[in-house]
Amino acid sequence: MDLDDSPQEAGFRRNVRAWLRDHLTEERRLQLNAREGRAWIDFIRHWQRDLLAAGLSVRSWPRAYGGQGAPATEDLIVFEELAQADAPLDAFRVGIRIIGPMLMKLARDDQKAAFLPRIADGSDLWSQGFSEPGAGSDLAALSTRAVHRAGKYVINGQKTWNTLGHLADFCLVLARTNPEVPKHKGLTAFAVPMSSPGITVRPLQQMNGRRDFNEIFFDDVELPENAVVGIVDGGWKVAVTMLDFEHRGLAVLGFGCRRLYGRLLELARTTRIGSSNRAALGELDIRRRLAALGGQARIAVLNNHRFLAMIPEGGVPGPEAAIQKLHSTELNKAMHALALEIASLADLADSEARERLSAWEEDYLTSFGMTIAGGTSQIQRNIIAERALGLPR
Amino acid sequence: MRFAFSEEQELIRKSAGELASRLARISDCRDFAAGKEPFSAALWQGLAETGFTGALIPESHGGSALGMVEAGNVLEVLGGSLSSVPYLGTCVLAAEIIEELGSDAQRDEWLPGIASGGLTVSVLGLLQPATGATGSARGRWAPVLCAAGVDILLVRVEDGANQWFIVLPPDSAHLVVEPMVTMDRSRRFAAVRLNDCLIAKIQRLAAPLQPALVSRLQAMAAAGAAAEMLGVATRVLDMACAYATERQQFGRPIATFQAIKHMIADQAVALEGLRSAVWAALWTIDHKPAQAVVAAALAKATADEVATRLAVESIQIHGGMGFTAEVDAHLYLKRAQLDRILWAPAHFHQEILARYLEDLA
Repeated sequence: MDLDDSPQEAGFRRNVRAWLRDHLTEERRLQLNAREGRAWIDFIRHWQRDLLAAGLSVRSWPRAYGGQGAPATEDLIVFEELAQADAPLDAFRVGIRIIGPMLMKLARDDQKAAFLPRIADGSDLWSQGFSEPGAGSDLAALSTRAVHRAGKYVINGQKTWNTLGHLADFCLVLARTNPEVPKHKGLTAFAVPMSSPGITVRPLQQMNGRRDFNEIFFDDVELPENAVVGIVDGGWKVAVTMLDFEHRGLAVLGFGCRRLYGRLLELARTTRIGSSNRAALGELDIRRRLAALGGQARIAVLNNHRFLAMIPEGGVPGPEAAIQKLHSTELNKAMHALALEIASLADLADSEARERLSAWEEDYLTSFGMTIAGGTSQIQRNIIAERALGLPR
Repeated sequence: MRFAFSEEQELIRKSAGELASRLARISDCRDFAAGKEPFSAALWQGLAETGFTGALIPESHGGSALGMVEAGNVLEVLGGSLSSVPYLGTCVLAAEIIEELGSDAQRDEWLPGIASGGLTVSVLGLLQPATGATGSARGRWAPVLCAAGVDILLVRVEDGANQWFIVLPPDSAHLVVEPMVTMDRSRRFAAVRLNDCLIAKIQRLAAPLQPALVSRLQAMAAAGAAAEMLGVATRVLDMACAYATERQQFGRPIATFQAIKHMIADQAVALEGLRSAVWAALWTIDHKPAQAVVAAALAKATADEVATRLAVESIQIHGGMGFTAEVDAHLYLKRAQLDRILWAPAHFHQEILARYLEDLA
């Protein structure tokens, strides 16, 4: 057991920090926050290219696909340092952490060669077409159809909760190819170019005021046979593999929780209660609650390190990823609730205090999405109980 | 970075588990409660034969010079099997104290005895030393594990600016050792009083005790106790899963009801967090002494919350059977409740974390 970086890991971490110090400038952050839509995505795309050029993205991928063939620990170090540096929201995470790793396990060689390098360097933005109005937690009940006709697949149906689909180049769509068999057995995954005729994207307004996700309508969208990912009627395996990687990807939020804890302490230190001169950080009740959340944030980081050691190099994360996902997303929500509470203790007649509260309000509302996206906390509990503990369904 | 046990450490876990499955079965725990032994001599003998009693003792004194990670692995197994032995006090705390503060002659006298299983020790005053007028000391402590059944007591005393460990047999005229009966019958506890005494007249370890060692010992006690509680919580979750799978109501296993299933899933999340906190604390004591206080406080504060909660919920999951003495669930609840207060008062470690918020970051 060794919880310390090895000399090589420590050297790598120093390099990552130095690079972030030089490249994640205040100016760059300001520009990022000022942009929306395509301009925002283009900005993130540049950031992704810079990361890749510096060897700080997809390090554990094979060299042929744009990676460095490095051990997975180095990816984890990059995630940790990006979180500590408050790096820009990772718009390409669906491609990099979910679809890319799945393609490596299940796609054909020609698909890997065509898609992976362009995911790695930010050329292609991918989104996920899983949920439907009638199939959320019960994903396998989805009703979007893909009919095989004259050497082509024709897709009809509707997807929802599709993150960044309005800006994406590709969508990984799960559709029903065989309605005659039990629901998990008749699904197939397709790589769908978003430029295909018959696709309509309608953005949804979220409770935090942002428009990150969408409904997508498919009207007689025609795809060649080679758009199938994995095997025909084998789409459930694609979906489950992606969900495992997704839980893993969201679990990186554990590192975000540590960073958030630092921001919470800073907030409590600088917030005066009402018009008094007492800092929120001086209140015993606040200190106890901060201690409980700070302890859990440290545990989330330790879990990330420990669970990484449980996955064989290049393997698919197991049900323990659901434990990380549930723990870190619920913790993230609890931490934002305390932040909102502390920010609202201030004298709100003061304009700076109001601005600060308003910034925390947006983050607070955003935190609600994480315990729903990628499988609700309730679905995570089913996965943990059935797959990790072996309880009956 | 590799947060996983080495092959040697896995072997220790396995071998400790095998020992417990032979000598610390749940029937042994029930027999112990009904008997008079101060602790299970048979299990202690087994721990000595496998070399576990000497885990922290240098090789020159008959031990195997391992670390807190290894001793913690043994403690985890001992906690999970509800064993009665004074391993934490003797083989962890006393071993460390005598090694650090004993003269050559004192180390030669006691360390081989600990390593061979021939000497058992209780340590008193880790949080509250005995104090008094200059040159004298007195104090009271409870609950103290095995105080009446060990060979010697090491008592921390404070004399002005100096601190020492004095050495007393349990039947010393300076001591009053009263049995303390608690709900937890898997071990024997006592309330101990040290009557006002002149420190200079009592045998003591040669070197004075420094504050850094006090912190280290408190961290070892907290992490060690947390490791025992991790063992308890692991066993409790296993039992809850087994019962919820086997017990049928409304024509199906109760584990298929989400009221039960989700309770158990949340327990698994809490238990995995406890594992991370405890194992990291054990490692930190061995490798990052300056960070040990906070790491150990996190482990123990988490253990207090998680082990108790799992044991409480386990009674509910076992339903009417859980309320009987026949099913073992209550034994773990009682154990966890005493573990919570054995080495420090309730909430002590939460308060440490609340004091060191910056160090948690």
